[in-house]
Parts: sequence; structure tokens; C-alpha cells
Amino acid sequence: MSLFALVGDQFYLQGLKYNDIKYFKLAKKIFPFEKAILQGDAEYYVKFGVIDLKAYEAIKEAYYYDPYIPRLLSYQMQYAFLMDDDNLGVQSFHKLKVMAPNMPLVKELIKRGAK
Amino acid sequence: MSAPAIAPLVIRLGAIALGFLVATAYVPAVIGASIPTGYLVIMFLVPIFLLVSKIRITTSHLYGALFLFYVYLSLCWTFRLNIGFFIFLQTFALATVFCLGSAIEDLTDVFRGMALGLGVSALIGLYQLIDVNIIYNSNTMGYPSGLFINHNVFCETSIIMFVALIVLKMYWWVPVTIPGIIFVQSRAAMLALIVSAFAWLFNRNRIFALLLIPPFVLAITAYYFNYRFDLSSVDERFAIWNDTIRGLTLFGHGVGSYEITFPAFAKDLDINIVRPAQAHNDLLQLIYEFGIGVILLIPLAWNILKIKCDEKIILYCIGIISIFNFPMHIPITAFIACLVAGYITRFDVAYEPIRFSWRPILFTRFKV
Repeated sequence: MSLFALVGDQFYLQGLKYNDIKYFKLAKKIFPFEKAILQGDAEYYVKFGVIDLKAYEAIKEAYYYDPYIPRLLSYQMQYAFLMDDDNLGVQSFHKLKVMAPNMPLVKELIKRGAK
Repeated sequence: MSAPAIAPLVIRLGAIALGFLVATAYVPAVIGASIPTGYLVIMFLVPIFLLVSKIRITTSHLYGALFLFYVYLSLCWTFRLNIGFFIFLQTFALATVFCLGSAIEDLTDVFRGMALGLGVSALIGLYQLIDVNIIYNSNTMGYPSGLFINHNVFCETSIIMFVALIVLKMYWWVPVTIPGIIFVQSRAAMLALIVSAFAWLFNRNRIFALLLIPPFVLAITAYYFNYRFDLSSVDERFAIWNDTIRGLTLFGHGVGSYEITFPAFAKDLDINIVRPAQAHNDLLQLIYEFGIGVILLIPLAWNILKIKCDEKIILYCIGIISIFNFPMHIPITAFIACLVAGYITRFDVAYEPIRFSWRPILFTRFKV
């Protein structure tokens, strides 16, 4: 277990150093027991603005491991709308309204008429 | 040299290596990113030591085992099982350290290794002071942090080691703790140092120790009014504690759930700005995660604290720091706490299971 943790952590570190998604994915595969490692790929996708199905799944998973964080919820909402998953997008927006009513994104959406 | 003569030497060297590795295992951005690698060293090496050690079971071990079982059970209701499982393994690793502490004859070898490891941090800290950041330092105000990233953790570890080295009479190693104490001056750690010094003095001369309290309080008050040190971090601590108390439940939220579930109760603290991974009060975090399960730790703590020995001062020092910070989540300080607590149990009477007393009686009665 220690060895797996060490190797997984090393891959995560390489991912941070070289900004390469394959390291984050390897880290997650080898040691899926640590929050930062589990969210590594999602953070990468958000950081580099990658919008595809893989990124969407990764962000949903990251949110699963940290469901009380408005930042992640807002990413999930944005990605849901971008991937035409309107149900999850609206759901996320309603949660976000309660969780972080003062968030600029929420205010902007309300201003534009979102309910 | 014959094999039996070499064996103790190997164990001694192993103990030094263990101490050294626990202190130096985490090299930020080299070995270790998201995982505290010190725990990995503990998980890997301590069981090997336990294979060649004979553990003397006391009632403290039994209460500890019960608590560990409760921690294991809490995996059933923890927020995310895989994250909780890794924290459970860390808790299990600390339990093995406790057993190791109760099995080893002498603490000095492990502390020699840790002092050596802290010396590496002290050296790096001195470089950081002159702006040579060979190792990543999270602090931007110029405080050194050694291998600990956080300067407060560096100071707290230095002070705990300082107290331990004085208690164990390893005076030659004390200089390695000085940079962390002098150049950082964490307030919680300083308070811990004062309380430890008071406890040490109290054991020797009670009246003199009590007489020292009023001038000391006066000196601290005068210092505060003259320098007005920043108390914003104290407000932040109160906010975290308030929010944590808001989230307390009967059986707790389960092992490893604090960081994830805390934001759900955060009202005083803005989690968009600060995201605490710990409650900055170890007891409060224990109650948050394990609820009434913490009761199992009371007899364990009582068993250890009722024993009269100087090593207890190290635990007082860690205890004071744990009111304001999280030493039980930092591998090296948690290692010291469990090792010393385990070591103290050697002064306690060994546990004798009831079966050993009733079996002969029963067997005589039935003439087996």
C-alpha cells in the first residue's frame, strides 16, 4: 500500500510539474485513495479549458469527492451546459444559488434571467 | 562478531534510520506532493520492527484497540470510503507506533535519528533565511520552514523535539532545534514550550514553579500591549471551531470526513477564501469524526497521564499545540506522540486476561 501511495503521489507530482494529463490519470489509477490525486485530472481540464466528454466525467467525479465546494459545483454546471446536459446544469445552478448566492457567476446568471 | 551480538546493533541502527526517515521523508516537490510521505515510512517500517519486538499488553493497548475498531467501523458511514480508508490506514500506522513505543527499551536511538532529520530541516531553514530556497517554502514573509512547507509546523516540531531532547537528556542534539524556534516563533508552540517548562519545574520544585506564574503572566501581558501581535489568526481559529461544533453528530461523520464535509457547516468562515483540511484542534476534530467513540480514548489518556515520569512532559507539549493546531496529523509529531505514549505504558502493569485466572480453577473443578 505504501509503495502504491508513493508511486501514485510521484505521478501526481510529475503531472503538476509537466502539466501532462497522462500522469494525473496514472496517479488516479494507481492510488485512488487521496482527494487531491482523485481530482488531479479534473483540475487539469479546468486549468487548460479542455471541453470534452472525458473532462466532463472527470469534473463530475471531482465534484463527487468534494460536493460542498462552490467552485467545483460551478465548473460542473458550466460543463453540463456545454455538454448539453441541461438537467444536471439546472440542478447544479439551483444548488449553487443556495450554496454561494454571492458568487459573481450566480449573480450574472440571475441578472440574465436564470431561475 | 556472532549473530546474536550483531542483532542489537542492527536494531539500534534501524531505530536511528526510522527516526531519520520519518523526519525527512517529505521533501516538498521532490518526494511527496499530496500525500504525507512520513506516514508511508511509518506504515512500511514500523511493522517490520514489531516483528522482532515483544509487545507487553496493558489496558491502554486494549482501549486503543477498541478505539481503532471504532475507527474501522466508522468507515461504514464515512462520507467517501476510499478517502476514509487511507486515513484509517494512517490511524492504524499510529497504533503500530504506539505498540512499538511500548516494546522498545530505549527511546534515545529513534530520537537521535529524528534529531538528525530535523538537523537537515534546520540547515535548509538557515538557507531559506538568506533567501536561498532550495526547497519549496509556502511562506512569503521570510520565515524558514525546512522540509515542512509550513513555518508553524517547523517551529512546533522543533519545540516538541527540544522538549523531548531535554527530557531524554540528549543535550548534544539540542542545537538542531534552535533555528526552528528562534527564527519562526509560532505562538502556540511557544505556549507549549512555556507549559512544558512549567511542568518540568513543577515536578522538581512546586513552590518555585507556582511563584513564577504571576511575573510570567505580567511579562506576556506587557509584551502584548507593547507589540500588539496580530490576532487575526485567532479569529480564524474561532470561526473554524464554531463551524466545526455546528457539525457535531452523535457517532461522528466517520474517519477522514472532516475536510470534505466541513464546508457544509461553514457559516463563520468563508470557504471560498480559506479551506481548512483540519479543525486546528485535534480533540474537536476527533469528536467531529468519531462522536461518542472518542470516549474510548479517555481511559487510555488517563492510564498514560496517571503514570509519574518525565516523558509525560513531551505529551503535554504536543497536547498544548493540539489545542490550536493539528500535530496529530503531521507524521513526525504524531509519531512522537504515539511513540512516547506507548513508551510510558511500560510503567503500567501488564494486562492479565481473565481466562488465565479462571482456567486453572475451572480445570481443577472438573478435574480435567
